[in-house]
This record gives sequence, C-alpha cells and structure tokens, in this order.
Amino acid sequence: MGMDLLKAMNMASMGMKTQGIRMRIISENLANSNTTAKSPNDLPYQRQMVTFKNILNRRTGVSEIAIGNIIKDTSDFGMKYDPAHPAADEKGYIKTPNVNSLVEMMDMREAQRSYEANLGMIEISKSMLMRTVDLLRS
Amino acid sequence: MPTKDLSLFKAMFTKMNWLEQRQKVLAENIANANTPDYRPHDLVEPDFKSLLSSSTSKITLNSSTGSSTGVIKTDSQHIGMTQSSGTQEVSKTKNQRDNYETAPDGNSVIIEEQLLKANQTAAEHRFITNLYAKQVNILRTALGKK
Repeated sequence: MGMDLLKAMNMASMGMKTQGIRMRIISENLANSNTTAKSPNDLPYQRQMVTFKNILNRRTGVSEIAIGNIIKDTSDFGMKYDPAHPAADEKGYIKTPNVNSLVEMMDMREAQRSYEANLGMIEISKSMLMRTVDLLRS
Repeated sequence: MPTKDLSLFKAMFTKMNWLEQRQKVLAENIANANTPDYRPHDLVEPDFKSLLSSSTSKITLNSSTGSSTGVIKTDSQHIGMTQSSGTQEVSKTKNQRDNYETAPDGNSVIIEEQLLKANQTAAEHRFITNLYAKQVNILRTALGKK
C-alpha cells in the first residue's frame, strides 16, 4: 500500500527529467541559431532533436521514460548572400543553421506543458500519500 | 481479528489499492506524453458492487475463521498463506480505445484528460480515506473508548 503512489511519483519525476533535457537541447538550438561555419568547407550549426524511449525497470516493474539518442536534423541549411564572410563560397553565399526559432518556440511550449503536467501528477500523488499517512493520526 | 477482515475495511482496502495503481498508470501516461506511437492505458474498474456484496455475505464466516493469524506475504510467489489476495487481480491494464485525438507522431495522450482522471482518482481517494477515519471512529465508539 502506498508503493504504487511512490512509483507514480518516480515516474513523473523521470518525465520531468526528460523534459528538462529536452529544454536544454532547445535552448542550445536557439543559442546557436546564428552560428555559421568558419571556412567554406565546414558546416554551420546543425539543429539537434531529442528522442524518447521506454526502459523497463526490472526492480519496480514499470517502464520508465528516458532520453534516447540526441539526433541531428539533416534538413537543408539556409543560404545567405554575404561575400565578405570567411565562410562564403565562390558565389558569395554562406550556409546558415537549419534552426527555425518558431519551431523551437513551439517545442519549448510543449516541453513546458508536459513538465507542468508531470508536476501536477506529483502534487496529486503526494496529497494522496499524505492522506493515507494522516489515517495513522486519527 | 485484524480490521482487514472486516467486510467494509476489506472493500476500502481494495478500492484504495485500485486507486493507487490507477494513479501509477496515469503517471506513466503523462510521462509518455511526447513519446511517438504511445497509446495511453487505463485500469479496468473491478466490480466493487459484487465485491462488497460477496464480502458482506461472508461477514459471519470471517469471524469463525478469524483465528487465522496469517503470515505476511512479502512476495506474490509465496504460497500456502491463508490470506486471500484479492488485490492482485485488480491491476489489469487496458489500452484506452476512445481517444479523441491522435498526434501526427502516433501519440494519443491528452494531458488534460489524464490530469482530469488523476484528479478524479485523488478525490475518490480522499473520499475513501475520510470513510476509513469515520469507520474507525465508529469502531472506537463501539469499544467505548471515546
């Protein structure tokens, strides 16, 4: 009795952890949204994406959420005409990162919402657990 | 005679166990709110009505067999114990069928829906714990310790 509530809180905390890592990757993307290459042969910053996966915890018997691989977005880079830039090719174009700040903002909102939901789950589970403990006092 | 053998207490115990396990399943759903191809689960609601009626009919039987002191089961694989483990069969999960939207990545968890269910579960849990406290008070009154 009560163990399932602890498991629920544990699960929600794992969810918060993964959303936190996701948030970190999003902020990396946003911070590097203007990072270009140093020479014409190099690539500019490539957008990163997180993947989620489930791992079965054999001790508790629940499948926990975890971050899988952090993969790179292989979509096309943007092009900008800037002949004076050291990374400009022979036609005078430089490659810009494939980060779309609107997409990142959307992702950020989603991560925030999921984080809040997990937090709410912890609060609900905690109140249930506290009520069970309070039975001892009556 | 432990209070667990009393019919109402037993029913409340089963119900609380069910609520807690449901809370765990809902937490799993919310944690996987962004996992592609994840479908939310829910617990099958046991028939509490029949559970209660079957346990109330045994109210006199229980007191006759109340001498069983029962060893605590620390593992579900232990056998030969007299205590019936009616709480284990509660934990049947089912895939939720009627989702109202599925994201393009195949995930059909609606956070609001899951939180609503969690709040419902918490409210029912509060109800049962209040009922439990009341029942204990009634027993205390009967014992003349109030």
